Amino acid sequence: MILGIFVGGIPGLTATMAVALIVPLTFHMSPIAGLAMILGVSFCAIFAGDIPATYLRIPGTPASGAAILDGYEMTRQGKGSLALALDLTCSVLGGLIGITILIFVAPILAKFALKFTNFEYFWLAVFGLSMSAVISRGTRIKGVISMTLGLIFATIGIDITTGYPRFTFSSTELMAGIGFIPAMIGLFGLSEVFKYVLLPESFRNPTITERIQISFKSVGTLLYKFKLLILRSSIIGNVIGALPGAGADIAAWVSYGMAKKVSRRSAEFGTGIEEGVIAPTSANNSALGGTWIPALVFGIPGDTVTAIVLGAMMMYGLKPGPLIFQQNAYLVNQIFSVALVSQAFLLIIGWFAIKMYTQLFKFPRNIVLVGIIIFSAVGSYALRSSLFDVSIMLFFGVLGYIMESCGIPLPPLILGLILGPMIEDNLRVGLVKSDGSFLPFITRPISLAFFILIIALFFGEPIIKAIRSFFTRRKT
Amino acid sequence: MKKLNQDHIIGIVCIILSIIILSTTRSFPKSTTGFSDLSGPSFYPNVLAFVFVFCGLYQVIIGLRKQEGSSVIDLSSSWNAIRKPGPLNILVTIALILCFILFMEILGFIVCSYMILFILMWRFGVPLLKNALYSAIFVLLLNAIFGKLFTIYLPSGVLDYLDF
Repeated sequence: MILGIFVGGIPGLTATMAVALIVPLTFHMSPIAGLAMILGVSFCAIFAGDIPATYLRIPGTPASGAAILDGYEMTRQGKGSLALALDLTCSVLGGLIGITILIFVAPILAKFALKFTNFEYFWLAVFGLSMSAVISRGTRIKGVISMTLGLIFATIGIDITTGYPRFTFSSTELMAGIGFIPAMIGLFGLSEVFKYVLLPESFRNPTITERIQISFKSVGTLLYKFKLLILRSSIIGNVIGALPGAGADIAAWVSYGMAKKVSRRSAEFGTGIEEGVIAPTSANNSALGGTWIPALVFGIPGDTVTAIVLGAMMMYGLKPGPLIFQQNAYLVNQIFSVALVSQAFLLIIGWFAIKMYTQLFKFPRNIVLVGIIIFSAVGSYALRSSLFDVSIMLFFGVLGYIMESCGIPLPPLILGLILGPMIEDNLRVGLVKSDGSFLPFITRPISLAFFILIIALFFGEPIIKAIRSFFTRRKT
Repeated sequence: MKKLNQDHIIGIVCIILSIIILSTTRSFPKSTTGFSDLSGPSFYPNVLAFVFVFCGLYQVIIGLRKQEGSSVIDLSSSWNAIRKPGPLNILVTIALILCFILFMEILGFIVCSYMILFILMWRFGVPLLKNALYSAIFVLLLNAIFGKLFTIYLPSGVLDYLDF
């Protein structure tokens, strides 16, 4: 949790990066201890990202982008302490609501998911990828390029059906395929470092002149006053988090937009009002609970953090999917309990974190960056005691940097890498079952529903626009 | 003559990559399960290669349509750009990670990591005394966490006789 607070609060370093860095440390632990660490890191990192967002107008993580608007304005008005106190309590409440929804919804969905066959799983995985490609920043085609690149990387290694080595170029290390974790550390850790070292002037840290003092005095009254807003934002955050490919950042923005739309003080949003802080901070932590729903139930990551979690779970020998609720029910219950308990810890650690962050912001950024570089290298090596994994990390670090420089989003690539084997396996097994016919992929009801959804995702907007312009032309 | 822009380059890279995939999969064995090659090892990579060709062509078309006023890649200024401190920092980082990969077995984790940390911090402008101190703290911390706590094999290299 402390690592989460540390990484999340450093502008530019994301929750995904914090989780990617902690994963190599968890491989030698029991699965629940490892998952507990990951949960703690992710919840803390998302909250910690709001601290520099509120005080410095720099989001610590992408999920804190929406928290800047009113949080920073409150700081300028001398109400920074109130903003952070609201932020912390709303993060905890949002997290609790998100986990409660996860506890009740996930088992019901798991029962439904038992009806899925290869045909449905194939479309579900494609749907998850498509969502990520469409929602990600940048143009849709760049999202598709990133997704396809991830799927191509996933084909490297021994073909599971025929045992034939594909794209290994006679390398024995590549026979087992590309490791998720070194790839993720490279994509999210090293590539982020490259962005900063490119600007040596960014080595100078932003300084805080104001002394941070937290005041919980008026928070209780405000929480009661805005209880419905907290509930609504948390539900919105959770639903958006549960959509494969969407994450806490999108949840926070949508929730902020919705709060602004329905509020009586709509015009005052962005000028430093409490509602503008409550909505995004409740939503971003609630979204974390949501992202675990598709991850646990279908084995489809809700965001990049759960993509890493899925990779880690596979390394622990666990297979996320509907059967995990029957075969590993005890573990699932432990995950839920840990998630709930972590909220209590977040309240305590978060309180200390706000107090101590003045000192952390003064820590030189150049030293932090060097620490991340060496941690990325050693973390990648530690997984299999393989220096080849460090090469993979370096390759993906450079690739991630180039892709981001070209405006190509990274999350679809990771999802492609994770979901690639699932898509290929279900496609080929489905084809064997249907004697080479593609018809069952679009004639079975659930498969057809997924197929229509995917078409709507990519072409819905242009089709609606075309229909609208057709009717407008007819009217005129 | 029209110049290349970023969209063109992305498109061309996609097309080249898909050609490499398609030419590599030609050497893959055919399926033995009866109905065509749908269950063979080349079927799925070929499908992805065709998706990539489509994406590449689409990007090239976008590039052509954006031609006016788009950001143009000027290769002649690339060398000057690399010599600036920022891009040079990236190159130094990459080179040092490559050194980590090449020399960790020979020099050992402690010596290799310390040297890399020291050079990186020096490059990033950390004062010399602080640099030496922080590098030592980082190495000892990593050795304690990975080597001692999680008992991961970290090569001793030249310090083998010290029994770390």
